[in-house]
Amino acid sequence: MNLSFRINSNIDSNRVASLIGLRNGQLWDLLFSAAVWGSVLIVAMVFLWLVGDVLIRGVSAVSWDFLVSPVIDSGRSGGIAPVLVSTACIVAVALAVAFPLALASAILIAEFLPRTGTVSRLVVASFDVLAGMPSIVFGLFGNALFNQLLGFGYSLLSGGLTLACMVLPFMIKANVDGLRAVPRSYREAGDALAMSRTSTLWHVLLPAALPGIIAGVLLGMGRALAETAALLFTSGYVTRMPESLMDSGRTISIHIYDLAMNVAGGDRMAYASALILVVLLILINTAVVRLGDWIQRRSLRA
Amino acid sequence: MDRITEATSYIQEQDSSSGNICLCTESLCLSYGTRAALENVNLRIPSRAVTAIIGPSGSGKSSFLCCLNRMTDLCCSTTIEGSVRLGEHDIHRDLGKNPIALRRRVGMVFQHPNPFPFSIWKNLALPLKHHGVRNKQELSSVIEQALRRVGLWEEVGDRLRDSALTLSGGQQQRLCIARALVLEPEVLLMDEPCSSLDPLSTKCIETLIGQLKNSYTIVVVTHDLAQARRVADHVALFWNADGVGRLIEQGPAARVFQHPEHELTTSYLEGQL
Repeated sequence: MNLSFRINSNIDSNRVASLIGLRNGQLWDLLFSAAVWGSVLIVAMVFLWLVGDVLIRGVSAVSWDFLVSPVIDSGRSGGIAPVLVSTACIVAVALAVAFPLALASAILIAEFLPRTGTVSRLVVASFDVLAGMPSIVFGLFGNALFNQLLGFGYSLLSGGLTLACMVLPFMIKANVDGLRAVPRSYREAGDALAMSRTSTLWHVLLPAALPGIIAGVLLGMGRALAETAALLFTSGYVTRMPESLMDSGRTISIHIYDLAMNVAGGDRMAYASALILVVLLILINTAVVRLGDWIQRRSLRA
Repeated sequence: MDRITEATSYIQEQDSSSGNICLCTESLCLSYGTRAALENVNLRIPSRAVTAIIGPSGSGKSSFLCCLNRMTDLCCSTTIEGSVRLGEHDIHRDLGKNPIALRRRVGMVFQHPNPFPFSIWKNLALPLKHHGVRNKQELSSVIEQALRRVGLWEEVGDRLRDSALTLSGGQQQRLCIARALVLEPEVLLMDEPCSSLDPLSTKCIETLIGQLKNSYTIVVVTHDLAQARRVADHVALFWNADGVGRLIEQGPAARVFQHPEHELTTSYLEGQL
């Protein structure tokens, strides 16, 4: 079927090519370019449509007041101040817990365990399984462990810890990739200069691996900001301004979900919140990348 | 007449080898896992001279070099038998688990220049700081001295804060040599230091080796016989026999090149193998 199609199209393309004065190869080049550019265009259109849609429908509701006012009438009016605070708390807890664990694990895997050893393979395989786990499963796990067993209840802390578990495998993978991308010759140079492995790691390998480490943080933060399912069971969806990490609170993604699905007439505010989320993601990405560049320049130059 | 020159060269060889021997290996065997790489190597490396290790690919030259500063420790599953003596010490037994003290005494330069992705200054300052030099003035003076010694000061003295990666290959290699020298080692191991460089940079490094041998013991692995003739005072020829590297001939360069004892040496030097 496929073959006959190709043969037919070849014959046709010969005829078409000679009709419009091109050699056969040139026509294929042309079609191929068109296909590649077309695909890019479609992807770009989807992105633009999405952003444009959110922008057009959401922008009318966004104002300074929207950012600093409490949620009123289940979100139909008022603003999203407590939601933003809860989001910040949960993401901060998740990153503060996950980042050191991820970096330490990545150093063990990339620098100390033999790459093809049983331990290394087992650890990496288990992270891959964790990375493929649906987030709802993390939600149930977090609820059982943090909310009930450890008695944190529905709280920002439970939500943050659950998200930490969820983003851990992604961050570890990014950090391991970052460290493995550092040329072996740097390690040899460090050893030949009688530097300890810790010192080489700290002064040479980590600065050189910084792009991968930054990518890990961004990936983790992006997933944490976007998460809803795992948080419904752990941080809850209270709209009050949280007073401590032990209070329940909803993140911006949950707020959007709730407005869109459960609150009649909440669409406009859902779009406004989505707009804020998109802008937030773009700002954070830019800031973290800039920060990483700066740290790397400083540690490489001085 | 011929016999007399032969006899004197024999005596000279005896003299130099019984004189100041810096490094010497006794029945050194190295294997990676179950695969033997070196067998029964007894090599004497005279101090403050250039010893060139030559031989075809796969004859264990680089592996041998790595035994001398225990870079072999980095690959797991290497086993070393026999001994390597540096001065009075057996580097595997006396220096125990910690190769760091050894590597301060035995520096190494690699085949491909491997400066850190830092500034020229930091490349030299990092090992110094790690070994306890904190004083800024002292750092500056040691760094300037090291760069002058490898002839880089005139070329880059005014841009020490530039990234080392902006230097040319030859400059990078000289920077790596300077970086090894700031720790004041006794021995400098060089693993084909010119194989990735152009002829001019190669000449520069060879001249440098000639100057450095007055203060350091230098062991240089090279594929390039012409280079060995140019720089070496002593030569050791390794050979791959049945998949295992062996040392088949060693001695003063002039003697080995003019009157090789082993027939494999003769054919190798004539380019017949």
